[in-house]
Order: sequence, then C-alpha cells, then structure tokens
Amino acid sequence: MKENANLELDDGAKIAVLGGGPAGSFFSIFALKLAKQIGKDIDLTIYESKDFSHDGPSSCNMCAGVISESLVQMLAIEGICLKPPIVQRAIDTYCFQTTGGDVFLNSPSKQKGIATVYRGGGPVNQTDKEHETERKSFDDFLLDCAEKEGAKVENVRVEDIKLNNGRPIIFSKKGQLPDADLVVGACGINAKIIKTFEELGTGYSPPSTIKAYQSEIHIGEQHVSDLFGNAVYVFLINQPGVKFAAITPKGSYVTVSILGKDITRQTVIDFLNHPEVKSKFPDSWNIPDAFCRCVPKINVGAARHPFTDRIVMIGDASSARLYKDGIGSAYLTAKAAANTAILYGVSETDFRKYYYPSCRKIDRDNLFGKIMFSFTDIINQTPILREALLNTTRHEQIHPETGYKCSTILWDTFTGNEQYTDIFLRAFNHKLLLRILINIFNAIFIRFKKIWR
Amino acid sequence: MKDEDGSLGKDYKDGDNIFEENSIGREMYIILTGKVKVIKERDGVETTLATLEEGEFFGEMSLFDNNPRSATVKALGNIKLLEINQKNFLKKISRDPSLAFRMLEKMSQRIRKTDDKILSCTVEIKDFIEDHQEFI
Repeated sequence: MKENANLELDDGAKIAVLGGGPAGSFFSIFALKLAKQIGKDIDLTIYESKDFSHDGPSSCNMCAGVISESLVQMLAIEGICLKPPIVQRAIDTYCFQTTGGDVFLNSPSKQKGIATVYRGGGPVNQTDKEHETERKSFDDFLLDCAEKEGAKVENVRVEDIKLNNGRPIIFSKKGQLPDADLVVGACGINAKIIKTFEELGTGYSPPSTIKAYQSEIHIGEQHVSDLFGNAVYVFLINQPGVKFAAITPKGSYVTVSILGKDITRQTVIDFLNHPEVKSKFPDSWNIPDAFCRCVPKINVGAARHPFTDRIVMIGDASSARLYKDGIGSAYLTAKAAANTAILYGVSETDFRKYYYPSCRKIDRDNLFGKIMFSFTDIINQTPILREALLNTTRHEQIHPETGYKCSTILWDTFTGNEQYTDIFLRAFNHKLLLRILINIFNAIFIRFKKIWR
Repeated sequence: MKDEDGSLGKDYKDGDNIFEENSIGREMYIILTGKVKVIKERDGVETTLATLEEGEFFGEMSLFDNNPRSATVKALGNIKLLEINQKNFLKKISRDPSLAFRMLEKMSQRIRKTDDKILSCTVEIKDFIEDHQEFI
C-alpha cells in the first residue's frame, strides 16, 4: 500500500474535473468556495463534452430527474435555490397505484418540496415548440453556478488518462490537456472514460449496474396539470420483469421510469397499456409512435478503491444510493471529496481517511435499501400483502391520530428522502407490524368469505 | 406552465406574518422568491431591523437555542418560502457538519452588521450627551 501523506494543494494548484454533471459541478462549487474561504487560489477546469441546453438523450445525463426534498433543502441552505424553469413541477404528493386500488400520500412537511427537472435541454421535441413549456436544464444551471464560483468549463471530451511518476495526465482527441494536481472522476458510469480509470491499475473498479428505461411522453401541459397535478405515481402492478415503475410529471411531458431486467420498448408499451396506467392518461390519448427515450446504466453497487494519489472518483462513478436520489449521492460524495482536497490533501491516505467514510456510509445504507426493496418486491407479487399495506396506509390517512408510520415509511422509501437504515429501523415498530398483520388476516378472511359464498 | 406548478415551498401573501415575536418556532425558512421584513414592536412603534431577499434564510436562531422567536417576520409582497423543520435540520447538520458553513458565514455577517449598528448608536448617544452637557 502506498503511503504518500504530503500531497497538499498549494496556491495556484490545478484541478481537472472530468464531467460537468451534478457531481462535477457540486465538487467545483464546494472546492472553489472553500478555497476562497481559506485564501487559496485554485485553478479548476471542468471538461464536459455535452451541451446540456440541447434537446435529446445525447445532451442529457439521463435519469428520472427527481430531486428529493432533503436535497432541495440542503441546496437551499448552500444558497442554491431551485426555481422554474429549472423546476418543471414541484411535487407534494405520491400516489401508490396497485391493481387493487390506490392511495395518495401527501408530503409530511405539507409543502411542495420535491423538484422534477430535466437533466438536459429536454426531450427531443416532436411537437410545436411554441406551445412547449419554458425549461432550463438542471445540469446546465449547476454548471453556471460552478462558473460563477470561478470554474472554467471546456467543451472537450477527455479520451484518455495516464499516470506519469504518480501524476495523472489527461488527453483529449487533439492531444495532452494541461497538467493537473488533482483529477476528479465525475464522469458517471455511462461514459467510456470510466474504463480508462479502471485500466490505470490503481485498484479502481466501477460499481455494478443495471439498466433503467426512461421515456418522455408528451401529453400537453394542460393534461399534465389536470391528470397528474403535483403528484408522482408509483405503480406496484406486478408487471412481469418490472421491479419498479413510476410516472413523473414535468411541464408538458411525463417521464416514465421503469427498472427491471431486459426492459425493452415493448415493456414500456405494455406498461402504458396496463389498465391502471392507461386510466391516468386522457381518454383519447394513444401511445405515440416515437418518443424520447434512453436506457442508462444505474449504479447498484459500490465502486472498489475510488481514489488514489491525485485521483478521486465521485458521484455515480463511486457510490450512489440504491435506485433513489442519485443526485443526492453526487452532492454528498462531491462535497466530501472537495472538503478533503482543499482542507487536507489529495493523497490516497487523505482520501481514505476523510473522503471514503462518506462512500462507505452510502454503501452500508444500501444494504438496508436492498432489504427494503426486496420487501417491496414481495409485496408487489403478493396480492394479500399488497392489499394489507394499502389498507394500513389508507387507515392512517383517514385516522391521522393513529400516526403516519406506514405512510412515512412508503414516502421516505420512494422519495429517497431518508436514509434506508432509518426507514428500516422505523419499519420494526410493533404497533405498525400488528396493524399490517390485522389487515393481512382481514384480506385472507375476505377471500375465504368469497369462496364460501 | 403556470408558475405555481413549478414553484417549490409554501406561499405567503403580502403582509402575512410568517411568525411573530415571542412565539415558539421549530422551523427555519429560506426565501425562494420575494422579500420579507424583520420587525420588532415596542410600545406600539414598529422598527424594521432588516429586509431579507431571495436566497436568504431566517428563523434559524430558534432552531439552535430553542428560545421564542426574537422578532416578527412579515411578507413584503407575495412570496414563496421553503420551510425546514428543526429535527430535519439538525439531522442534516449532524450528517454533514460542513452544511453549517454558509449559515455561520451569514450569521457572522449579521453579527458584524449588528456590531456596526451598536457602534454607530453608541457614537450618536455619546455625541448627543457631549452636545447637551449643560442639561445633564
């Protein structure tokens, strides 16, 4: 193991951030702010080949684009306030739709605290642009914030990275890019450069991934307002091969997000044709022949060794919360890496001591997330459990004096608002378990009664 | 898109009291759009201590010291505020103490401004006393 504890960033030090998504922008914002605060002059360049102001997947960082309430609040405390047209819809309700009915959960904070955003310029537009809602990419907005803090943004794709006497050297197609005292890998897991980091021989291996299917369906602003309002719809309809499906309203579009194995365009069409889903759309509406869609990889595991001397991987390329709040994880890892680099140093020892605990915390929390989502799978596949959970939640909504235990567990799990560990521990409440058990017996009793008749 | 569909937080109308002096509060607020004024009332006379704008926060003192609100805060025009409750706020700070950096920076700036105001008041009083020595 290398031990090189004396690699501090001096005045005038150069940082190269590979990737201008949320992780890269957050790192740049926090590193530059902190450097200014302690009187250090840092020369930071973000290398990003995408232009987030353009429409379509090639200019987008491809995700559902839901910013959790927790992150909205943390960003506001940091002075980064999200407003329209960055926010396409402010969410205060989640609807859980099952084949046996639905239940609406309102935000425990009683405010519109969740933001839906476009990561790029928006979907590839098939309709009249004049009637489109105004929009600004969330990633573009963060990049602007980073530039205001003093970051330089180069529209360059970094193609290669090599180590020369322990110093990273980065290359574009045109040749070697300026030297950097620290290279920050904020490239996500969908970029080709991630392979190059793995091949450096520093022990880094990217996290394991699954594919998610995101589609942007145009139904018009009025329909989005009338039919979806300020609610995200989560579907537990036991569609084969589908682990999780949700519809998120945004401007004049809804984003259909589907997680599962071997999701294809046909899976999306089957999902949209499911009676419980179709009932959410206008009567006269038919699935369009073409719609903006992408199949990004999402992080479902932890990266190995996401740092070495003068290199640190952040965001999805390092650790991310399971299925939810990827941008929140980008914020946490970026901030921890920025604090480490500016306050302590950029050696492997520094990153292990001050940065890695943030990643480990996310990874440990994901173990509980896996258990929570396994329970969700079981519930999704078992009609009696589905009914019992729905009835328990409905009872809480009608009788708030009993407390919102089940409702807040569902809310926090699906909004990504709380750590999975907290939610898991809250689920082991004897009163809540008893209530669910009673509802399970009720559901069984009703079925027996139907058979006897 | 109607602005309210994409606007986060809670709405307050012009003149609404966000909270009143001496009330018990367990929330802090961040101004998303609009302005608020911070006022104190003594013997029916209202004194504006500060006007806060977009991106600024208030109500944080009660979250730290658990004491009643030190002043009244009123909406200036129609505004939108993001509310953060004490428990959530303290949880966030305990997970990421550096989240408090900006807050401490702003609070330090407010203390400096208060120091300046106290100093200028002291100088004014001193000058007044010196100018009116014959009456004392």
